[in-house]
Amino acid sequence: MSELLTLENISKRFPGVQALSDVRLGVRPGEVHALLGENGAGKSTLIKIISGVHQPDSGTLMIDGKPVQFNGPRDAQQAGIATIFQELSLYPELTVAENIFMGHHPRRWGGLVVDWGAMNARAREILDSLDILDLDVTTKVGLLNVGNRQRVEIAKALSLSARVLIMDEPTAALTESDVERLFAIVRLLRQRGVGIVYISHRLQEVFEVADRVTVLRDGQYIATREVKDITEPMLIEMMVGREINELFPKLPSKIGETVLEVQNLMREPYTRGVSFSVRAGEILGISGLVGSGRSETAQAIFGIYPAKSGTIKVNHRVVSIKNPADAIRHGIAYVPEDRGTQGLVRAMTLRENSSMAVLKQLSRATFINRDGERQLAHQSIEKFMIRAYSGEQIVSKLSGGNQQKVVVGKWLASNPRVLIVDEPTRGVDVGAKAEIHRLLSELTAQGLAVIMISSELPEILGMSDRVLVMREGRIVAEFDIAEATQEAVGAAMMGSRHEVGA
Amino acid sequence: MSVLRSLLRSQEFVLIVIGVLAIGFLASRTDKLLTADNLLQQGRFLAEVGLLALPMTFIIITGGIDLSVGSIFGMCAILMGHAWFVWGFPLELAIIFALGIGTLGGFLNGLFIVWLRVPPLIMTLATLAIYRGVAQGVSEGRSVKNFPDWFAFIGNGNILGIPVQVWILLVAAILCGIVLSRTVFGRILYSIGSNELATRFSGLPVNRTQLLIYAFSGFMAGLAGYIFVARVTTTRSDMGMGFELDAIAAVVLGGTSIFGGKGSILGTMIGVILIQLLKNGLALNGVTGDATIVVIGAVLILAILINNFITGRE
Amino acid sequence: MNSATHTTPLRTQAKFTGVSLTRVLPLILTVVLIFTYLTLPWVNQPGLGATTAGLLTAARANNEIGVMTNGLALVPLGALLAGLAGVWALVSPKSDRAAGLLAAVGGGFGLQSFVIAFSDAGAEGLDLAAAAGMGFWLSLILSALLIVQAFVPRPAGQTPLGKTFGNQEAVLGMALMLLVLLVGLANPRFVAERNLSDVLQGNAYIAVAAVGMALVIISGNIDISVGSLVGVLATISGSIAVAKAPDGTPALPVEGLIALAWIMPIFIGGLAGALNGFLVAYLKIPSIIVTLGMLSILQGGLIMVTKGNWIDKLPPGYALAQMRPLGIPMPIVFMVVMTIGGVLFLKYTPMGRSLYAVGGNKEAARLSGISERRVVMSAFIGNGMIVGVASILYATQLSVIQSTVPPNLELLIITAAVVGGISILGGTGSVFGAALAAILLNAIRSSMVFINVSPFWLQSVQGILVLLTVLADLLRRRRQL
Repeated sequence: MSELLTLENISKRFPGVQALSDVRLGVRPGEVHALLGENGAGKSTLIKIISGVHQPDSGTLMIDGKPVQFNGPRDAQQAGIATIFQELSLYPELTVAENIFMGHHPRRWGGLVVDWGAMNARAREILDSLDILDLDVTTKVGLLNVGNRQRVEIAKALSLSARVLIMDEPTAALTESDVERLFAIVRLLRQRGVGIVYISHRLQEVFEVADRVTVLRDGQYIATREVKDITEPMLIEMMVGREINELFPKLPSKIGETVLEVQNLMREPYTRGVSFSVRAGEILGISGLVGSGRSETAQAIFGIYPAKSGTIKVNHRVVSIKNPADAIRHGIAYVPEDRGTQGLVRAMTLRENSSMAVLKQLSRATFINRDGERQLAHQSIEKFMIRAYSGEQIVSKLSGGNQQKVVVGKWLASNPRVLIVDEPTRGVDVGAKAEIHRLLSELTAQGLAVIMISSELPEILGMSDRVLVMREGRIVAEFDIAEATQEAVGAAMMGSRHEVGA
Repeated sequence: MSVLRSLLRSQEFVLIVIGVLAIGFLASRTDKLLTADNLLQQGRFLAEVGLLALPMTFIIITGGIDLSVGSIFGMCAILMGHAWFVWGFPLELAIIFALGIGTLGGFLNGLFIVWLRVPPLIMTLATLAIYRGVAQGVSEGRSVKNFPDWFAFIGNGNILGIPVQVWILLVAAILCGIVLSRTVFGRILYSIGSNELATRFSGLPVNRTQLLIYAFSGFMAGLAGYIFVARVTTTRSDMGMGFELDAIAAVVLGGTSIFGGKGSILGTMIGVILIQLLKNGLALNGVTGDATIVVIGAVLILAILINNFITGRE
Repeated sequence: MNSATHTTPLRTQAKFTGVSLTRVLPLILTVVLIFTYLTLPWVNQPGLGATTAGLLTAARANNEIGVMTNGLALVPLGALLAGLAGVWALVSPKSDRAAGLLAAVGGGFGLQSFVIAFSDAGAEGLDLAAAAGMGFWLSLILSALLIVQAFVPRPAGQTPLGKTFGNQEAVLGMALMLLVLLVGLANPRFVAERNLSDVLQGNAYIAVAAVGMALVIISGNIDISVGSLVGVLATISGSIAVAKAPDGTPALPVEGLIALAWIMPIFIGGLAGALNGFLVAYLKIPSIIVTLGMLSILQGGLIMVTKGNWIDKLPPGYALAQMRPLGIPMPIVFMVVMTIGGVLFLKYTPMGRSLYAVGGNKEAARLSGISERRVVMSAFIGNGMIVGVASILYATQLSVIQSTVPPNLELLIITAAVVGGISILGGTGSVFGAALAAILLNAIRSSMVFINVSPFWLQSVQGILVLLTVLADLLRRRRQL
């Protein structure tokens, strides 16, 4: 069967990193083709090449077997390729119909006038064909929830007569029912002969909806397999390249006193009566789907968006946390989920980033102690084995793993009693990943309490002493590490009817 | 070679070179430009804009802007005269009152920008109108004159042969420069301009800092207004009109990026001096006052182009 | 099984619920009212619309009780009922907006003539008949504007009150009528025909310029140099009109000069806009900075060229703003035509929609294949040309062309656009309300004189209006996210 889209020998280099080398991908009509790989494996670069945003340094792109060249997104669109990125690209002030047709409005009177009637009617047709019957095409997109916005994006792709639809982490921000509807739409499109490239880090979804899967690792093509011929451990091994248990060496440590206790924390709609505690020396893993409220709860504890009610106790004393400065003072530190926008000031040097949480301590009468800063940066580089040429390097030039180490180092400098890490190894190469895990182990051995929020089940299961599962703002399950299995935790995350009794 | 390249990347350096060339050219055409008398006089004239440009540097480094400084300037000038002449305040009190009003005006800007999250451009555009309206409404077009003799000292007097306001500007500039480059406060400013969210996540007091710089801007506008009134010994409701242009032009010329995250007080001061000398040099060469407005506008646009060019090269 | 995927279809929300009493009644009453005003044959009072009011005043003065009670009183009474029906129609969930607004407005001026006719003010001898006439015209124009905008599609899901008050143009219209009514009651001189006519026309050129400003603001930029540009273009226009050949005679046949004087400002305005657009779109300099610099370049340039002199001895036939085609003042014609043109352009042309795209989400626009550079460039060029049109209206208001423009003219234009409904944050807004806002601003300025508030406070009032509008806009956006 001829392929709709074929990529062969694609290579792409950015300053400092070979993003893709010799990658191949083939998409057949009417197939759902999953694209897997860790962050940094090259998936986004590949997607951007297919959608015309980047041009490959070498290799060929073929549509229906004929070589093509895309000089921009428009070219790819005209070739029938539509991409839905994670950051939806919609216009909140414009209607659903116009969002679908912006840039190619139906026209009247010799192409001079926009035909609103036809636009609304055709938008309605497209939505109906996808079985989306409850969305009014004259609603402003800004008033819609995430699930509906995504459906608008899909309709947009169809309006361009897309033959290949690329979806980048489509379920990342969806509720469970929206995920079901998405799968239904995907199956509909597959029946119509559309080729779908589906990127997700959720392996269960691959098995649920994909026909074939291609795995990338460190910018290289590993393999393409039929989904029915493989198992999850095989996939993980292809993605990661080594046996699972080697990756997460949590050393045993002495578990001490309760350091942080949270009772009935409330901040609608993300945190609804959350209660838990963490002890010195232990790693408390918190798992859950995106949208379950884990990061938001952590941010409530850390004071970014303070809780509306509930108590937080540090070392058995009730504390009031209205902003991050309060949290830091009480010994809580938070390594955020998105290091680029929340964790680092990318235009500044390693030294300046390392000291950012402890500037006050590093200053005498508000004058910054430059020497102290330099020392701190130097210590960070040594202790965490950060690959940078000096403390004066601009952090945007560092790799993902090294950037993450800078953030962790920044927060450790504040001498916390509790360290909350949110997706600590997202977008981090395998080597750095192991180093970060080892670091966390060492820290707990020294008495630190760690709360680890992660979407990677193997990481949670390998590193935690206890596991909490959050769903829709509440804690729905708690496991001791002995009882926690992938099935039990996964079931609790999804809210399946077959929840395992604790 | 790399020394040359890193020099070329420094806007301050490029500025000084261009400035020296331009001034040199203008000075060659008239022998009145580079006299001590003239330079001191120009120092007197540039002090007001200089004082405005200092907090403007802070604000632009954080990625904001303050278009209302000219209007606060005028409002404070008018209210100072009005408080003294119409309400009968002792003049000392009237001066303090005016400074307080200026600070309040700037504080209101900051309040709306921080708590209601109104974009700085829009907020200060609105207050540009509102505060100018206050100046016009209170003064009703009338001027206040006949200030006592001691009043004019700050505007027309000298200490050790150098105009008083130049001393004030110097001290203020040094203080601001130190704060910006060496203190936690200064680091926070750069950080906000580069990535406000990460700065918040690091536990640094973003809101308080922003409130402070806008209030500071208002205070300096009041101070500059006071000095101006002392210099010309009269008040008028259109004082300060257009000063925001001069201040922003000086800041941008001095190497502060309009997008935030980069800048220095030294650069701003060079910008202020250069612009003043440019205006003066043109005037001494027979170019009328109105033409200098044209030049400043052109300088502003060119300054950004140069800035873009220099940073684009990196 | 999967209840998640089974969706309930939209209950088709019919746009028109068919003919119903709530729609028809106000409509009928208003039509009758207008008809009555227009066709009462017995009166030869000057000025249309003065008829019934004048008749009533005269009847009252002559104590002709019979005339007053004999059906004529029914007309204002009917208008009152229409007004009430209209207000109810506005807030009732089943209403049709157009009918409701028509009725409200019709009721409005009916009420006005009612009040005037039966009040004691008639004894003062002011031209109240003409005043009522002016009120008639005002209300007619307002209702025409309001009716047109009633057919602009609105987002689904607004409550009836939200429909009324979330609708910028309706709020402005009501504010304007309320202002005229209240100030008129406090000081009837305010509603004298001469004054109201000035109020209506005086800011017409601002309304025109606001249409151009809307293009720029919607695309996510701003232009604070327009005030100075108006001055420069007005001077250019005037200079051409009085251009002399070396021997002292007009450089071209007068008609040619006039035509050139009308066309060149548009062309040169477009060039100035192109320069701004180039700096913003291609060299990526923020528009606030470009236009801040351009403002001073133009300002200084203007003074340098005019040296403070005014241009007079303008040829007859040049004064565009003083012409009255079909009896309607030219500024009003331009205001209405440009506003309607602006609305149509923004709503129905691909370029107009691209403005919203670029202002709403730059990245998405790029991915949609829209060229941000071309769009921003077009916005600035369009603005420049429209400013050219406005400058001719400004120039020909008087018989001389001044060497300056009102201070902070650009702020006035921006205020008219923003208060009129263009969101200063970009990406949304209708230019329709800008005309109403321009009239309202002029009405405020004028009324300040009549109620003894110092007009020196006008700038503050304008600034506060802008701030309030922006805050309301921000609130709305934040609530929806």
